[in-house]
This record gives sequence, C-alpha cells and structure tokens, in this order.
Amino acid sequence: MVAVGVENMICCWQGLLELLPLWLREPMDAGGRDKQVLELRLRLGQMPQAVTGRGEWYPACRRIGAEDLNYVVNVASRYSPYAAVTLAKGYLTARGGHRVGVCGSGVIQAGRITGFKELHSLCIRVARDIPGFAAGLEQDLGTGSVLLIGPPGSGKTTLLRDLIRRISQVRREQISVVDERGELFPVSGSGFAFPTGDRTDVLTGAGKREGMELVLRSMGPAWIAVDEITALEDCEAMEACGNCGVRFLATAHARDSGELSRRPVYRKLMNSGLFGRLVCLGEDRTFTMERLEKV
Amino acid sequence: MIRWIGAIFVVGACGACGFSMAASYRLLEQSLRQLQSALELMQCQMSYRLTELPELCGILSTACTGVVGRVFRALGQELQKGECDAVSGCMTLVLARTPDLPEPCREIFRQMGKSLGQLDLSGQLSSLAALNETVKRHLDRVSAEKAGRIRCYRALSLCGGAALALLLL
Repeated sequence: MVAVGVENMICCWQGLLELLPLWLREPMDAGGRDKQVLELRLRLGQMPQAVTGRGEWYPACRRIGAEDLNYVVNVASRYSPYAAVTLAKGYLTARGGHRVGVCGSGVIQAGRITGFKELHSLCIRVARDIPGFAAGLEQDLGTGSVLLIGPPGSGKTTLLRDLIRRISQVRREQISVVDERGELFPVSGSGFAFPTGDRTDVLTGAGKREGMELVLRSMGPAWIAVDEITALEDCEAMEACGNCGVRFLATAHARDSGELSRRPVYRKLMNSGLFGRLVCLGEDRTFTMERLEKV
Repeated sequence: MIRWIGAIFVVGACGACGFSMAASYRLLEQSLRQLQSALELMQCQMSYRLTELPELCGILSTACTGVVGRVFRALGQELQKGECDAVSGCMTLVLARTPDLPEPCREIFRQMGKSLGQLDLSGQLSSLAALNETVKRHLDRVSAEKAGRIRCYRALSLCGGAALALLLL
C-alpha cells in the first residue's frame, strides 16, 4: 500500500480564480489556497460551497445568482459555447484543466440533451497534479495492460497522469494519451499546463474509440492511456486495439475488483485477459496493486 | 482684398465640409465591406476550427483594417480580460469607446454582440448568416447611392459656400 503525498501538488490556482465571479475571487483566494480545495459547488440561491480534504467550507456569505452561473460557464467556454462540444454532455473543461460540471434545464432535441437554457448548479472540480504520486509503480506493470480503479475523488486521474509521465520518462516507452475531456494534460497557451514527458503524444478532444484507433494508426505507441472508460463501445475498441500489440493504461469508477466485475460494461473486458494489473485507489489516496488472472 | 480672401476661405470651408461628408460615406462603404468579409471569415473559422471568440477576434483584427479592425481588437481584449457576464456587455463597452464607427456598422456590431456566445454552432452560424444578409442589404443600398451622394455632397457644399460668400460680400 502506498500513501500519497500532497507536498508537491501543482494546481493552476489562478486559472480557478479566473473562473469565478469577481466577488468570489478574493474570499476564495484568501481562504482556499491552503485548504486543498477539491471541488467548488455553486448552486442557484445558495452560498458557494467548497469541498476540501478536511470537509466543507463556505468561502463567502453571498448567495449565488443566475448571472454568476452564466458568468462561470461563459468564462470556462471563453464566451464560445459553440466550441465547447462537451457542454451537451454536461461538462466543460476550463483553462488549467478544471472541469465544470453543469446541471440545469436541458434543451432536448431528438431525445438528446443538446444544451442548457437555464443553469441551476455547477460543480468545479479542481485539477491537481502530484509529480511522484506513481513513483515506483512503473517498475511493476508486468506485461499486460493496467487498469486504475477507485471511487470518485480518489485521485485516479492524478495517478494516471503521473504514471503516463513515468512510463514516458523512466521506462522510456512511447505513450499516446487520448484525452477526451482535456483533463489529463490541459492545453495552456502554446503548451500543456502539466508536464507530459518526452515520449508522450496527447490527442485532446477526440472520443475514446475514435481517438484510440487514430493514435494506434498514426503514432505507433507502445501504450495508449485513456481516462474513465464508461461506455461499452470504449471497451470494445480497447479489445480491438489490444489485439494489435499495444498496452492500455486506463481508469474506471469502481471500489474494488468485485464491484468492477459486477458491472456488465467491464465484465467482458476483464474476462478478455487484456488487463494484467489492477491498481485500486482508496478514498484516503492510498493504492494497492493486484494481478489479474484470465477467468 | 481682405473680402476676397475671406470669400475664398468661406468657399474652402464649405467645400471641405462636403468633401468630408463624401469621405465618411466612402468610409461607411469600406467598413461595411470589411464587416462582410469579417462575417464570412467568422463563419469559416467557427464551422471548421471551432475557434474561440477571443482568438477569433484577434484573427479578425489583423484581417480587417481601420475602425472595424479596431473594434474586433478591443472586443478580443475585453473577452480575454473576462470581466463581463456576456459578449453583449463587452461589445457595449467597446462600442462606447469607438465613436467614429459609422451608425449602420454600430447597429450590426450591437446585434452581433447579442447573438455571439449564446447559441450552439448551427444557431451561431445561422445568426451570422442573417447578419451577413443585413450587411449585404446595407452595402447594396450604399453602393447604389454612392456616386450620386458623393457628387451631391461636393456640388452642394461648393455651391453653398459660393452663395454664402456672395451674400457676405
């Protein structure tokens, strides 16, 4: 079991502050910088609520108005909702990699949500990078693919990001990242907000299935990394690409291997023998590794 | 002698007024043409590259010259600052700081500010196409009236100046 240190945590704090309404920036900056804020929840008519490693914290007494929610979405999308294709899926990725989850009155066309006419709540998940989080893990990856699992907020994306860097830098292997939501390596100016490693290629914005096929065809990777596999078609694409000699590094929502195998989406993938190692993250940001046997 | 010099000044001043009005009419036509090409470029950038508005304004400010280019540059800077709730707020600030923008162009920019950043891609492209139609209508009218108006401003100002000079003499 490995404990996760947060001493080296990197967070684009300024990017987070710039997302917030002007009146909320100062109290958030004054009180939140040293509290390791994980999430900031803005709900219409309620006070802003920050979720930290030590519980909840209310940075200001003023209640959130509709104009505040609109402001956050406008700034996160850089006043360009037409360019934020993920808004219809309920989230936006802002500068610095912070993910803004959106909830409100949806606009439905042909049975699918295409946008939001009114916003009711926003959940800003603070992007963090902890270099050294996965130290040593890269030496014990075996010969197959690796799946990182854990409950929401346990640090799967953070661990995946560091493991990608370590495969690239320490194992010196080519790795392609299919970063559908731009959270793993958010684009910042002319580069990336977090270091990627010298042998890492990042495809941002493409869907997982399409992205995996693209990087396999064009970048010749030894590894393909994807964050949060949730759909059956992602699993099918992984199976198809996995039989082409490439290894996967992926994350999924589950507490343990038992919970994972109970979910129909993952069951077939687990039984396929594609994954040789399972890294289980706990809520206390510790992780353990299991060897997976083909059933 | 002094009276004649005064008369020449009166005619010259009135003529300058007329020529300046003619020049501003030419500026209106030029601004509308620039606005038309800017709207076309916006549609291309949005539909192919999904370019975000701050970058798009930067591209447009270099593609357009004169007052239209200045409006896009200032709008891009306001959007980068991110202090307004919506694009319309940024546009209002920019237009207030650009008094030399011809009125028809000002109205088109105002409408553009209301529609930008409010819709999905297809809605955004449709609203830009509608604005482009409005610009085209203005441009057709201005181009059709241009020669007559310019001649009229020049002739009237010179004749008016000459008449005023005669009266004063």
